[in-house]
Amino acid sequence: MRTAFISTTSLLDTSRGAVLRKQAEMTRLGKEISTGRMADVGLNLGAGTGQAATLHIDVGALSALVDSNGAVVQRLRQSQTALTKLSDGANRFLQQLVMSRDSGAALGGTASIALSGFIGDANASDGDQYLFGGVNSSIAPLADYASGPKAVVDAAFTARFGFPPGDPAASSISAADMNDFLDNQFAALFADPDWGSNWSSASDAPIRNRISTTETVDTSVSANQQAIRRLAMAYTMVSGLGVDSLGTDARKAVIDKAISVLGSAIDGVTALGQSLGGTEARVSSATDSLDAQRDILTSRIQTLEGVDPAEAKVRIDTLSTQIEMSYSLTVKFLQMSILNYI
Amino acid sequence: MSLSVALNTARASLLATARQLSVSSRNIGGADDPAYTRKSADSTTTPDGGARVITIARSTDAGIFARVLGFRSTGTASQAVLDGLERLHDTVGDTDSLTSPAARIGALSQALTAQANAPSSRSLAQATVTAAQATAAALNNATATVTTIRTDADKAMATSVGDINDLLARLTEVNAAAVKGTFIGEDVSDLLDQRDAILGKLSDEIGITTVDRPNNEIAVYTDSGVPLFDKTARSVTFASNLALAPGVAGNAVYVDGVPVTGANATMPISSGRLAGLATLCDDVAVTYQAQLDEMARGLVEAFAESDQSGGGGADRAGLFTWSGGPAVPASGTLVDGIAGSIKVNPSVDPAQGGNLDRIRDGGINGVAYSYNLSVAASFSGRLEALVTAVAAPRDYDPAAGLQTNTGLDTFGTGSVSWLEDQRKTTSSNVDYQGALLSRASDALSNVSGVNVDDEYAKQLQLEQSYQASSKLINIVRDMFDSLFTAVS
Repeated sequence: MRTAFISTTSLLDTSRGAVLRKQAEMTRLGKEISTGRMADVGLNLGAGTGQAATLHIDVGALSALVDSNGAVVQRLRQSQTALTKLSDGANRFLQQLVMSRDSGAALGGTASIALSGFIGDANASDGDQYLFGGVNSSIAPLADYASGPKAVVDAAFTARFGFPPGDPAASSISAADMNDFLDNQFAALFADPDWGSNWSSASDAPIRNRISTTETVDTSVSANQQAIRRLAMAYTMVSGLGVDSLGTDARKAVIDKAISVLGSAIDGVTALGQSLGGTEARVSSATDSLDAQRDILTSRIQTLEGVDPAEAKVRIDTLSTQIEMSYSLTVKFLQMSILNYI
Repeated sequence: MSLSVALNTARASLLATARQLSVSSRNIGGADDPAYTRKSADSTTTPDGGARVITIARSTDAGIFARVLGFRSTGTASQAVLDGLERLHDTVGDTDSLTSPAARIGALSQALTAQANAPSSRSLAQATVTAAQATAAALNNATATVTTIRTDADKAMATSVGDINDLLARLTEVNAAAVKGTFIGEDVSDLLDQRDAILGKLSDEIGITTVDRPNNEIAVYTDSGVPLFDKTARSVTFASNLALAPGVAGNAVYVDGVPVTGANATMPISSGRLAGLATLCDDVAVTYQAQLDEMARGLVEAFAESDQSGGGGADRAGLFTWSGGPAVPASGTLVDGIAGSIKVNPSVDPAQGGNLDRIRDGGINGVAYSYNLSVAASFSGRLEALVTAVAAPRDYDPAAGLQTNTGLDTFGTGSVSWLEDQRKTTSSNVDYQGALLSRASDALSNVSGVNVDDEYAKQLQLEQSYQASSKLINIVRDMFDSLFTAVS
């Protein structure tokens, strides 16, 4: 009998329910426009949310590496500067030696100033940690000469020649004896294990830094490096053996030896500087590639979680039109009563 | 035909019209009640030609009504699970926030990487402790949330069971009245409306099927086939368990002595709020708790210290410890509630009298466990090893339901994926079932609902018929009057 019966409740409820749904959608779109991201990432991505979370964590990890690389570069440059100071000091001392070798001018005072200058430079710090300590960076790598190695140097000298350095009898030491002493007993003081027990608190293990997700590099120079030992040897040779009290030949032998040791030490320090420079270049290129990776990950996050604000805006416009139509329909339905016409 | 017969017919017609008018006004009164069904007064003609109302019929459709009940049950079940999942989602938060345990583990890894690149720095060591504390707190809070959700679900199940028993008691009364009324031929349509409303509410709580019996009697079974109401109401029982610690299973709901929820249910119900709450309490929340526990156990394992002295001592809890510490829990085996008790070892936290250097050097469990005996300030080996250990593949208990043999970070984000996948699926189920329910309700409303315009038009018709009958009585009276005048 009735082909299309519709109850009053369902007539009025249909447009009311539609308005509620569309208003909820409006809120969501409003949030998406203001943030440029999905309003509820988890609900949209479902099982893919973990991937988005992983990307966020990875971006964080890359940023942390970029930050720590900045600190690494900073320390590398400070080490570089300290090495330059060491080699500048060595060059100056070398000139003094060359001049004094022929002129015979007294060297003892200059040499002990140069030695303490060297120890100061080798104990360079970045304000918190010592640069040449290896992993043992909290302790000054080289001991003060007077309160540390002086005793063993004097003892070695006394053991060999029967009197301490600076003794008037020292003028009788022959050049050959002196050379033999320098090559053996004296040189042994700068080799392991004497070097470690008398001179150095530095660790052979270098500071190792992670500069990318896959790469680690050694970023420190240890005071135990051969070049630095040789510098110490050259300075000590001239300042600690009472060079001014030696006979002319022995004096010349000591200075010649010191000149040749200094020369090879300066070369060594330069090589250390070059290797630090190489490390710095590696860190920089690692940072560049980290930045590039971070950009890629960020754009993948954008692809996963981002929304097109233009599209969202268009949908908001459409929605508001629809909501307005629903309102006017509700009003129409309410007006549409048989009571108004009878 | 005599005049008195005509008068009788007109009188009967007046009564019938009045009765129909009253039914129509009942219809208008019930127009805004979704449980009200449209009544029609079917009138039949008596052998003497007079009209007499015999029955009041309800317009309804048993098939559509059963579908509406079904959609209500599945809808409330999904909604109960979704409500729980939304609260679990709070423990994960947005992907760009540091809310989730996974993101916290990532941040901890970053702090360790930063510290490994400057092992001598106290401020970076403190940052590592802070990140570790945040990670432990995220796991503790998530565990607390899961426990609350399970306890709340348990309470809601008790409430639901109480409601079901109340509804069944009312159903018993209404059903008995309807059967009695049908026997003595009364109008039982309002009782049947009431009964349908009760069935609707019942189907919100528990999935039901109904069986119609003669004389308007019904029997109600759960969707799994356990009788809820058949002549008498069966008892639904549930012992609430207010201390649902991780690893403690929720109690089962019994209908007529048969367990219908929980792991040992012989006839498990599949829909209704009760089924949804049981799924949440005994399945979803339990799996999520297992994932949290495995993350916590993995952290204790990854940060454990091993004997470095060659003495062969057992591994001991390092940066992270737990209620069973300093022992390290067995690998790949779930430890219930460890996510609730995991904490940063007090012996590395200066605020608790600890020493920050132990993160870098090890030795939390004594000198034998020290990785850096010379206490070199820039020793990064242990820190590097910790960063590697977090990402290193390890085994997880299958109870967590996630890919095993993965790094902790991957396991953590896997948990995020699992949760959001459940939420997305359940949410789209709720939408879908909502749409189905809305369509079925519309269809039912269009079968059984009232259109006030139609009723008003019908009343106009009835008014005219009433006028015609009244007119007829007038005519008969006039005719009798003329007759009496002629006679006298």
